[in-house]
Amino acid sequence: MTDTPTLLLTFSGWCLMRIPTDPDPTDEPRGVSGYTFAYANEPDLDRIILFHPEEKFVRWPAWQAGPDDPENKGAPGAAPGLGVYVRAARVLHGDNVDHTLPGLVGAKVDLLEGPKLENRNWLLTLPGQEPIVPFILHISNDRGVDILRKNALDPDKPDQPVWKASAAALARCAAAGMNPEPDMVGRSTGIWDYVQKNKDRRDALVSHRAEIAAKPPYPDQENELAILDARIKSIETGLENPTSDRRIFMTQMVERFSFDILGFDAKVSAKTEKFIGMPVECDAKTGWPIGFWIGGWDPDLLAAHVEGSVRIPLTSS
Amino acid sequence: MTVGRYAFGLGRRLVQLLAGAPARGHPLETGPTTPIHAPDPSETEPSMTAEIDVNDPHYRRMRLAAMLCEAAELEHSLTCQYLFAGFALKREMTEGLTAAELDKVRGWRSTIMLIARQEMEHLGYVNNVLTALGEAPHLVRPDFPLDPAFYETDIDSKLARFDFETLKRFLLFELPERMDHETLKTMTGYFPGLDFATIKTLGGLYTSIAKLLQLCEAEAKEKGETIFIGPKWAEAMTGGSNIENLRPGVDGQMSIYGMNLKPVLNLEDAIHAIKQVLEEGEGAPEHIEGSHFGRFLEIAAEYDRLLQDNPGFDPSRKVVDTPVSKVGYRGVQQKHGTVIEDPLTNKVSLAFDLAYNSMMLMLFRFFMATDEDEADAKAIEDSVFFPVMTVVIRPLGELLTELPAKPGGDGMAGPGFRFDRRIALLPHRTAAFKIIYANLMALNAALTEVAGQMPNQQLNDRIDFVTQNVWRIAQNFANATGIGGEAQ
Repeated sequence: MTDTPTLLLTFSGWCLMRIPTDPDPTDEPRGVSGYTFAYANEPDLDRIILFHPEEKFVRWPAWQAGPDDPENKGAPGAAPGLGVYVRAARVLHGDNVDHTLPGLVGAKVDLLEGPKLENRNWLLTLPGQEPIVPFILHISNDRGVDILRKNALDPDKPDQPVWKASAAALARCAAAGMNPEPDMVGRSTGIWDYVQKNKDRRDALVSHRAEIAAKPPYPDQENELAILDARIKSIETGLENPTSDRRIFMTQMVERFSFDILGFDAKVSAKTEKFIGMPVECDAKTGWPIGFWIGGWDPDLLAAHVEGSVRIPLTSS
Repeated sequence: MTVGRYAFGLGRRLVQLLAGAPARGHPLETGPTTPIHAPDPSETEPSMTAEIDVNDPHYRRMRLAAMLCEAAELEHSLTCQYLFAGFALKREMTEGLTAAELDKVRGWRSTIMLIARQEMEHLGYVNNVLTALGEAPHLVRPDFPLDPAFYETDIDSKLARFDFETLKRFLLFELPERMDHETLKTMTGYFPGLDFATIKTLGGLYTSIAKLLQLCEAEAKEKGETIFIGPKWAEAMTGGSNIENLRPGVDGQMSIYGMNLKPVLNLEDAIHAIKQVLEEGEGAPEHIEGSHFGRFLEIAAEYDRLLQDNPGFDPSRKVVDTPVSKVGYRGVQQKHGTVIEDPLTNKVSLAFDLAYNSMMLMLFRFFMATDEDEADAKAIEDSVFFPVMTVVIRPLGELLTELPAKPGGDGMAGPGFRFDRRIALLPHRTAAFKIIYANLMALNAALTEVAGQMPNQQLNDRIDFVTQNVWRIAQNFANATGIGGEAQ
């Protein structure tokens, strides 16, 4: 550990991943042979990881959470609040916490420009071993905090598209596999019993459907009912074989990422540095180590929990 | 002894022969309790092979191989017909479906894709049996449309959009040899006046194959020999090293995405394979749920109900029957089918033909293992299943159903699955791999030529995605086989 001061930002929250699933083609827009679907008049599956999704992508009972909102409403996994935020901010000198930065807590963490898990039906990497491309980390709040860093798979070829990237470049930023970590998922999301969570979800959807059906007719009612019917059916199908059906057991899986964000200049607003009290190392060659996991996958909502931290080198001068 | 190579993009690995494994049960009688007799020729009369006299012991084995080849052609042909129908199904409410109708159609599409995958598995099984017998795997097939008399199945083989008539054809293809009363009543409603007992079925062909296998093996045993003389390592199965990497502890062969292809080492395995094919296809009289026939029957019932609610219900795009590329200087024009006259669509159709051609060249090398080493075999497997079938064949096939067959015309195109005469085993390793690589790069160039010209952004994005993926598949293949490729 060096004496170089570091800004450590810890973040977590629920995101959306509107992805088709194998054996569907990676660019399958509606979902056919996998276990994720775009129903009725819902937008196409676009593969984009959305840390702060627009309302049109959000399925009931998920909701758009703000920085001060709980990550779940009600029982664990009942109604995930979508949104990834900084939960803690510390300046470290070596192993010592020099000071904390409450002003950065609650800042919005985002990935910009359509980040996608890129394995392309096992063409680029095996599933669970794919990188997220593009990876443009953006941390901001309405008080002038603005931190942006764009990763290059291969810093020597920053403009090379992912489909031309070498195996080594892909591996540098790849996830380290997709593995069951029920303890990690349980501690972070409260979801310890993913079978029960799915039963609860099914029951909630059935009740919600009855409420909608009882309303006087309105324009989108038929579509909403069809979507709920399809979702209920999908969960029930999964519950027939909970230990082998991906839409159920994948909840316990975790995909871990750990790499240095490298390449391209970082951009940090002057106000951010004022908050921190020190300038940030912004040159293209200084990596920003980031480690996070995505897991607790909820195929019904197309939502997943994300949790991790990024270390941003500071200049002590 | 070792056995097996893995299908569906899942690596190749030598595994221990299943020696000592517990015997599997099988309903088609085999072993010493089975009366050995020559099958009644009327039970084994596929047209292409009927000239071979099954009662002549010298020709029985030859007849068996010919019947397996016929089964392979039928499985291959069914795969293409099912895929075509599935690709042409509507995807969006904007195509004139209600939300509830769309959800049903999505379910049908999923079912048809599953059935198509299992037809590929059946083709793999037939080729495993052929390999086990020391014969050449059979991957060729005649182009569409086919006269029903070609196989004496009494059923047209053509590429057609999914409507009730197509569904009825599919029901007949998967027709069980026996039906319970309720099923028979339902089927009679769909086919008034048809005597189902007169329909020659694929199931009947397999039953005949099973009997002939038993007979030939019994005769060989009497001489202290076996008919299973093929190289065990050349057979295909689902599972493999990639799966093992992903799921440590999983060993070798396994079911994946509804496919469960196992090696065929002896008579018991062969009978088991046929049993699996029959159960997945036609099911059993007392249990058709989950079989192809049962699944198509469920779709028919749902289709019926949707039509009753909405007589205008139409689940699929107006795709022309058996579209064929206009080949110009590139080859001999197919005389049958609907020639694609729209120039842009035709370029995509020709690209699809080339993609299918390249895939088949790889499948020939995969099933007819000659001088590949294990790394070569894995390179083929890692290319031809996942991803060629998923990120090239399917997207291009689907995309064609959104492009007009004729300029300004109503009918849309579709994938022709053209089996041109250049598709054959490329017998020499390095030359074969270089030709496959060259074909893939030619495909990349053909797709690059149509980039940005599609009628909407979504289709342009799909073409771009396929183009990129083809390039990558080519490079991965070249690198893995050591034949060069472009630097990354």
